[in-house]
Amino acid sequence: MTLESLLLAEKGKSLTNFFSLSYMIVVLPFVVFVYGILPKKWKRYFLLLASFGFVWLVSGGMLIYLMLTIFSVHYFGIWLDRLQTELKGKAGGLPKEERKELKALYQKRKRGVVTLAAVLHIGGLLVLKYSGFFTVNVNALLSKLGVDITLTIPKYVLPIGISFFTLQAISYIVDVYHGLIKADDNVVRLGLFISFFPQIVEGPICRYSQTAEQLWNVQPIRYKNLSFGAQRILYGTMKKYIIADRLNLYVKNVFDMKLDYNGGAVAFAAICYTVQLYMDFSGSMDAVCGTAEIFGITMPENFKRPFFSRTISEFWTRWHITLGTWFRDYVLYPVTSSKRMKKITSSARKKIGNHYGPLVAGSIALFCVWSCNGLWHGSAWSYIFFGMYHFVLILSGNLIGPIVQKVNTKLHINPNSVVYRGLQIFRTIILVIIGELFFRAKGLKAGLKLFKKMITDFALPTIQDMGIDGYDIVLVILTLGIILFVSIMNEKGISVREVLAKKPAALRWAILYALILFIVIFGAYGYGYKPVAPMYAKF
Amino acid sequence: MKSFLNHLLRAVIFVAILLVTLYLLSRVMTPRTNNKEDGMFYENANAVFSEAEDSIDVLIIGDSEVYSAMIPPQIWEDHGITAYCCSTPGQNMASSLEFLQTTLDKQSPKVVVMETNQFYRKISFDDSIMNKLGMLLPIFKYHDHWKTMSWDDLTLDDEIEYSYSDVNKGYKFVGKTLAPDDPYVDNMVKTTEVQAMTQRNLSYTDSIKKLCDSENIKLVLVSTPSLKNWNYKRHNGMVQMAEKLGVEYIDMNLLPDEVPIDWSRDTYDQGDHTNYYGASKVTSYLGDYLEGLGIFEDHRGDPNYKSWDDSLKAFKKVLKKHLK
Repeated sequence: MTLESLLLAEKGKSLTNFFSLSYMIVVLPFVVFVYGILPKKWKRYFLLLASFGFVWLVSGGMLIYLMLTIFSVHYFGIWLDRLQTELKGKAGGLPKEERKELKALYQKRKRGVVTLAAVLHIGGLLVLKYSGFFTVNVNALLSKLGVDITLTIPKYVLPIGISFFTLQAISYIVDVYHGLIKADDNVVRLGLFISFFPQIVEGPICRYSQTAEQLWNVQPIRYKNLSFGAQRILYGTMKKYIIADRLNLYVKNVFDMKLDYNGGAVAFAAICYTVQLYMDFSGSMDAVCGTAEIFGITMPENFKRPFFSRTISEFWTRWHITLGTWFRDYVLYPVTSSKRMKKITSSARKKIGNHYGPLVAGSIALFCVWSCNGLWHGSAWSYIFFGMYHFVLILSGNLIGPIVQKVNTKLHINPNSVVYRGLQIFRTIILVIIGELFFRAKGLKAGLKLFKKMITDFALPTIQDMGIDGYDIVLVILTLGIILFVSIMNEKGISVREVLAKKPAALRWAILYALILFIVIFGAYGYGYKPVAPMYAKF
Repeated sequence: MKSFLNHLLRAVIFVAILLVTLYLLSRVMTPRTNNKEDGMFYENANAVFSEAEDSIDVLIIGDSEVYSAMIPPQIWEDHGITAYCCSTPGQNMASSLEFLQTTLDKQSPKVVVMETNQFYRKISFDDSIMNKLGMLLPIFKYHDHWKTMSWDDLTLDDEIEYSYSDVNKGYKFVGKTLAPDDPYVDNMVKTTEVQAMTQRNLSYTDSIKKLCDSENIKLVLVSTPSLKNWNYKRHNGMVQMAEKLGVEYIDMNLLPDEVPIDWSRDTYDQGDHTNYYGASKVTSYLGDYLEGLGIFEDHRGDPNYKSWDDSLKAFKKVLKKHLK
């Protein structure tokens, strides 16, 4: 056995899976070890080198795209900063009117710079990710119009993590523009913020103010961090190997439509897929945050018990949080606070009142957010449908909210009662599962077909032809029980790891052994299983 | 420093206890017999370990191309040579090396035939490590055995009782035909291009060759007919490999007279794997080749090999039933 495949570019593709052996027993221990023994002043440079090395191993020459992004936003940041300094220098001593004029001029210039940066980076992402989809649809349109022209469908290889690090880059530039952060003149610090290796594959989408300083002010490897980080990675491994990858066998069978499954089997597959996606993505986030924790870095959380949400709006504040907040801060707020929208809001307030008035502009902004959110996940109509589905649900919630409130008051229903809350949570889960059915289906047509099947041909599914057996289902339910217990504790503000850390060593070790052996024995790997690539890495 | 050493010592103890636990659990999880019901997978290929000691003349190692194309009972019937197919679906070189190593504990074959499709199957770093881990600590290999375990299996006895033997000696009978689209695409259009193998597969090939040399075994490379898996670039690659290793290479895709495959009849999945009709042609050629080597005794009539006659009878029964 040689390390050849790890040492050559693009041969380390399995590294995108943080639960792969190559990551867990080769790359991560190597990086932690070297980082640990290096003097403090070298640690940060080594982390950047390790991050570039990681990207190079996974996607080879595509590393250049990441590097260009770093240099580009570094330059744009400094440009914005210079404009700001220039303004300050020129404005000093000017009369108020002239100062105002000068400020407006520089504001315009700064807006020009930030627009150029956004066009370059978002434009690059659009070309690489969506030009194929765009061309296919243009061809279809031309054909319908009877125009005998067929455009060549471009095919590009996407650099790993482009959807994630581009959003980080844009957030940095916009934050500098708004004066929320100062432009970073240190390209190494900025590079580390954009390319830190655990976050590059599936996020979280960090803000400069959240991680840049932490990454720059490196910490030594501490026992507690190492132990807590490893525990979190183990917890994520359990989610991925015992639940997500085990359910994959069944989910794949149904969504590939290999057999004519009845509606019950489709509904069960939609439930399984929702669980699979959550376990896969949140498990990966545990591995990402756990890895960062080893280095003493606190990453923003991407999940906050989403299936305890009472509404779809709340769900999206608990699921893929960093993407949601990115869209909130860089799409929703700019749209709602634009002059035109403010005008619409004030005129709507007069006509339809204080509740529904602001909803007009808000809904337009929401439409933009959900169009972007759908498209961000992929260039297909099914993703656009997914975005629109959630847009409609949130819009409906906003529209009927006051009516429901009135009905509750009239009927003396306590909206905070356990039963009411339980029903709300149940409804939200059902709506999320339906959305995920379309999200997973191979195209919008297939999604509609499966949905129709679920409604019109419902019968209880049988275990036959599922690809999983009764043992698998019991095991998944048991493991979900463990995760539910931890989630309830977390929801109550209790950190299970902190509680365990105070227990005697024998108990702590016993729990750790139990977790490791649980994964080794019951994990879906080896004979009969194909490794499942992390689900969000493809977005 | 004291605190660091303290933590290091604790980590070492933690890992040591974990390894001992995994070792003990490996003994528990190892299947008790080589039956499928007892948790053994690929029971037909693994049934090679049920064969009497030093009774196998030829080991045929590879992926599904092997168990679809080589019929050991036919070789026995025609030549009195004992052959066994150590082949599993999608088998890679790491598994092939493991098969060879473990089989040689009990058998002393004179020839090892390596089907060549496996030389081009990529092995990931993870597969490679998992393979090693499975050999060192079988729990990584048999962890799913919990589904078929009974309370009686909860013992530390890790001896596998090889009670199941395969009458087909690793061959998988398929009688149906699924022809490729007509006209089929010729897979053997001549070219000078060479398809390279991965470094990892080259390394496994070296290990297999060294093992064969150390045990005085003749290594032969064979490409079975396949429209989908084989082509001239791969052929060129194997020619180079055979030259480098100093072994014989037979490409049956280039022997239309000796192995006259009728693509409209002789495969069960549109030209990828041979069905029984194609396999009998492949086996006929291989049997003649093996006999032609002049290194095998004809064991037919030898009372020590009576079980092979019994297997042949059983195989013929299966054949008769399916070919009705």
